[in-house]
Amino acid sequence: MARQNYRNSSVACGPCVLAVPATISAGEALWITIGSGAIYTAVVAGVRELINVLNVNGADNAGDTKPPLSDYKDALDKVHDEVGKLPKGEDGKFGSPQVGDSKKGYRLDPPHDGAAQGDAESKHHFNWWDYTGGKRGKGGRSGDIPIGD
Amino acid sequence: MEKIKLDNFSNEYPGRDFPEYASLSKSACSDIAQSIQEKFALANAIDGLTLVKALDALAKPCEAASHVGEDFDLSALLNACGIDAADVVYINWHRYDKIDRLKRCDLAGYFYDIWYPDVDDIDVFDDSLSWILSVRHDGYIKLLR
Repeated sequence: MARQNYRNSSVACGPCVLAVPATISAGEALWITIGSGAIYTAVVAGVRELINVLNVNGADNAGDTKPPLSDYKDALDKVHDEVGKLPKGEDGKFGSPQVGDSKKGYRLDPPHDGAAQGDAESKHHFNWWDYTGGKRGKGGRSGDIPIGD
Repeated sequence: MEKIKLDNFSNEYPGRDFPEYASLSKSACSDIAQSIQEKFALANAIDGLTLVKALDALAKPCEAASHVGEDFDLSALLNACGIDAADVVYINWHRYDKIDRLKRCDLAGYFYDIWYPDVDDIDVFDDSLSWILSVRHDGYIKLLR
């Protein structure tokens, strides 16, 4: 990839538009618009990962342990089936990009330690929730959707 | 405390009051964050995000129970961990900038009306700041002492 200053700009990458802030730090969420408005988020752990995000629609994805963009989009479609499309919300406690609010929303999380192998929480995943009808089991619903499963 | 939890509680238990709690001021939250930073020697944790990540890295999986279950009993778990918890505890909801104070028995008795899976990553502690019990959004439990 040719060296270029992407900061404080929007970068088109195939069907994606990546919003790049003026400054980028580890763990920061970037917002990507896909096609006609589906929003997906990516957390960059550094410049290398940002470059991988920028390359995500290209062939050079070597070394990136994250699932391909198509898997994110498939998982996001499932999330939207559960809670619909929602506005961007406050980031999660550990900096994960979050959409919606505590009543109804979803969050893109990295794999967690302690999660059973094969469990969605052990992979990149979305957590979603809709507690507008009550707590879980009393009208409320929630779940997790693995990315790339 | 998020309003949705108060609303859901009143719908589920008509006529019953939500457990008494107090949401701490920004200043009080800041004081607690600073005390925790000092207590656990996290001088580099200069912001809330860095602090919660550092605390999470220090915390160990809880040996007495790995996850909250249907019959989860917070007080029994604390006892099993050898923690003599105070009657009043705190819940950190975010980055030690949103903290509620309530009775431990109320948190234990209404745990699933207060902690909602998939959305909530909480830390529970008392005035001693000698322990922090963290319950992740998937129910995974960690303990820092």
